[in-house]
Amino acid sequence: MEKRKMTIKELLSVSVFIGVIGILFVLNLIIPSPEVLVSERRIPARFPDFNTSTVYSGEFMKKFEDWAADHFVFRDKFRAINAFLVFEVYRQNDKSGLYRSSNVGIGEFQRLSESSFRQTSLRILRAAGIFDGLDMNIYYSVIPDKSVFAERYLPGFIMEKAEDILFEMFADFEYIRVIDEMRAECFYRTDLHWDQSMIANTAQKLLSSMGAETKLESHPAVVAGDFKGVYAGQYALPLEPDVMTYIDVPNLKVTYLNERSLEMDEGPVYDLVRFRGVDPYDIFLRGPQPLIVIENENAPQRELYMFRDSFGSSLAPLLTDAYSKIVVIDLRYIHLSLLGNFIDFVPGSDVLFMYGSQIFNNPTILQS
Amino acid sequence: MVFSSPTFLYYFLPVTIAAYYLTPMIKGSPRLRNFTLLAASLIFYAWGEPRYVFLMIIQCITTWGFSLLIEKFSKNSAAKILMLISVLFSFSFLIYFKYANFFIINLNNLAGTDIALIRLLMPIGISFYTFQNVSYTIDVYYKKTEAQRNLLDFSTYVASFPQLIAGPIVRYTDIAHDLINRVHSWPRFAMGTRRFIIGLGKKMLLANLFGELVEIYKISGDQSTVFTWIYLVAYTLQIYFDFSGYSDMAIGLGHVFGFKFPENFNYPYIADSITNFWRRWHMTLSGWFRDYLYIPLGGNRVKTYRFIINILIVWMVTGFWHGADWNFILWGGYFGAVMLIEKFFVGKLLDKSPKVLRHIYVMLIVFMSWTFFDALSFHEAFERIGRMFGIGSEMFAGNEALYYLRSYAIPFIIGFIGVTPLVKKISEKIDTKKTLSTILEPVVLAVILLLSTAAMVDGSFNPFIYFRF
Repeated sequence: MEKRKMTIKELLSVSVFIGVIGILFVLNLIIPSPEVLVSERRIPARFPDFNTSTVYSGEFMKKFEDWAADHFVFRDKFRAINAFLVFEVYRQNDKSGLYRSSNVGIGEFQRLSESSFRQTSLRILRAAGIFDGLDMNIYYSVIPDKSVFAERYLPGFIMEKAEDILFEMFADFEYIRVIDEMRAECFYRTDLHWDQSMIANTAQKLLSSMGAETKLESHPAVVAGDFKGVYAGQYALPLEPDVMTYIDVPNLKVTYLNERSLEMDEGPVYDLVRFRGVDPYDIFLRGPQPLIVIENENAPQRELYMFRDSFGSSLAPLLTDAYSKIVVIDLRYIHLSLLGNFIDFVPGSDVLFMYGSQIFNNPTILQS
Repeated sequence: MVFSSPTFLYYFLPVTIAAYYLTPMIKGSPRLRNFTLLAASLIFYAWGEPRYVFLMIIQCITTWGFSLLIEKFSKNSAAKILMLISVLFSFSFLIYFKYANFFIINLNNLAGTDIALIRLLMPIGISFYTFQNVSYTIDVYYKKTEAQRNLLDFSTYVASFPQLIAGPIVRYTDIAHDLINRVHSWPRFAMGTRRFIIGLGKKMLLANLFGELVEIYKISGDQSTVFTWIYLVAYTLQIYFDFSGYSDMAIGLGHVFGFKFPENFNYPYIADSITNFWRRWHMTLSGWFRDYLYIPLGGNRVKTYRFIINILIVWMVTGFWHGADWNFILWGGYFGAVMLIEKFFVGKLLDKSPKVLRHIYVMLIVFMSWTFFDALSFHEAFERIGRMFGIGSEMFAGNEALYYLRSYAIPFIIGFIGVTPLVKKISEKIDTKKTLSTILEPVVLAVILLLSTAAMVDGSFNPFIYFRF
């Protein structure tokens, strides 16, 4: 192989190449794969089936690429190195849309898609159609993305533009503007959601706008513990955790739709077991649930049908001072046509459609 | 399979290099190694295009067979007929898969017909390997090279994975000697790995970054003048680092396997005229068109009107090679027209102009050219050119433009430096200090490789622009 003797520099350069590629190749083969990608909150891709059909169709190769990326050794370390490069060396404001801001922390751009907003609005209108003839008071609100509270301009969500579209789409419903009651501190720094202990003003605004004369009581705040939100893992660099606090509203009876038995089972308002799970935000009303009924026998005899996303999980308990019964509906997990099987709508009640920008930007997510 | 994927870099490549070097050389001949390289290359190609690998094999066999016949009948007119059949056969695949829909759409529009479009994906790299086959056939016909008797060796030339899907366009004469009598050496291996890592870094650490900004502009509501310029600069940098990065990786891998592939880029953005730019950009493609189209058309040894027509034909065909759409033809024609203007009108003026002015002129022409290249329609291209000069843009600079200008300040500076020979000059200076160079180069290579791996593992934004061709 030799023609002339290799210099030390060449030897070192070859060693770098063969060393890095060879060592990582071997480690990728021998180190077992994780069962869960904890920082990304997902299951890694499975090794694909290998047979003539999957090879000929190209399915094996495509899935192998996903598997190889997900099972790469030191995946989190490499992701952290890349985040360091982007944020600290290139001094970029965001990494592929994941921004960091001094006051709102880490977030992801929620670029407003006008067509998606309109399509989602049409689905909401379809959902509102089930109340035709029931003389309901229908309200709607949009939860601003936390980027709008950032100290410096961040591209993405433009509240005024969102409102213009919604005014046009929901001319017959009453809009409740909550942005004025909110500020950067209302949101977790490591997560997209709001902090339940910081949204009393928002809840009060909603209640007042829906005609409730009730003034929110001051309930005790309980610290659940340190909390690293969904963006902490995506950010990949070390982050101070947020502290998760929940508001302990007494005397609530909560029942959840059991998706197997199709019965309503009683459960806690705040599920501390789920706080220690993959997504600690599931502490609020058990996270993703199609249908929940919250009853407060001490509250005025009024009913609210609340169509919501995950923000609604932490908001709904705060509204119980003004409603004896709140039916919390998540159309991501139950089809509109099935609601009648579980709910007897009381005419003259209040209806609230309240979603964050993520839902408005994903029109197919609502099953209506 | 793309070079910048974990599958390639950390599965395919180590296995292929190991298999290649474990394959023995028999009596100094690399034929067995050619077989290993060919097998790996077919797997590489089939990884992305399982069905189309047979198409490439058919083209290898027919080109190889026709060329043997051309050589056999070289003394009579049958050779010319055989050459034409072979060339047409090679081009027929390219025309069918790449251009058929273009012709159908235009025919439907013009004649009001309703011919159904062909619903087939274009085989990756077909433009590259077709051109290699054609150049080989013509070279055999004109006796610039002997026909390769061994199908395996010939197929290794066409299909070798380093240059298979995005060039450089390697001519048979470039590597005929290496195919049957190449030398493997550690210094050459070192040179190859160095070049590969640099190319990988260009792609992963710069091109992809600028590519994200290009995509952001397209979906942004901010279409201000400033953002349009930011987009154009980003695209200009993206396409250079993307394509030259790929060429670096291909040339580097060529060295690793004992081949010397031709250079494809020579700092095109420092050119002082468009003529000079095209001597530095995608050099193997412009060389191909020069030798196999421009010169056969008569080159510059013809009357002026004929020369003008030749130039326009060559450049419009060059544009058409890049994509089956009118905006690519216009893109090519635009460059042809600019070159004619340089030759007949402003060439002397340019020569007398200060260097900085010449450079600004070249970059302005290039910026505008990329709008055609990246646009989906004429309308979009002209809209963006308008916005460059404040025509049709809602404002001079929106919030988003300023945000990304701040965010990309450092990458832009690195990019601007990276398109000049400055880094190369510094590297050559460091090379004169042996101890420093011995330590620094491997460290820099290790850092680039690890950072590129980190970007690869972290990111999903990874397209190669030239895979479209």
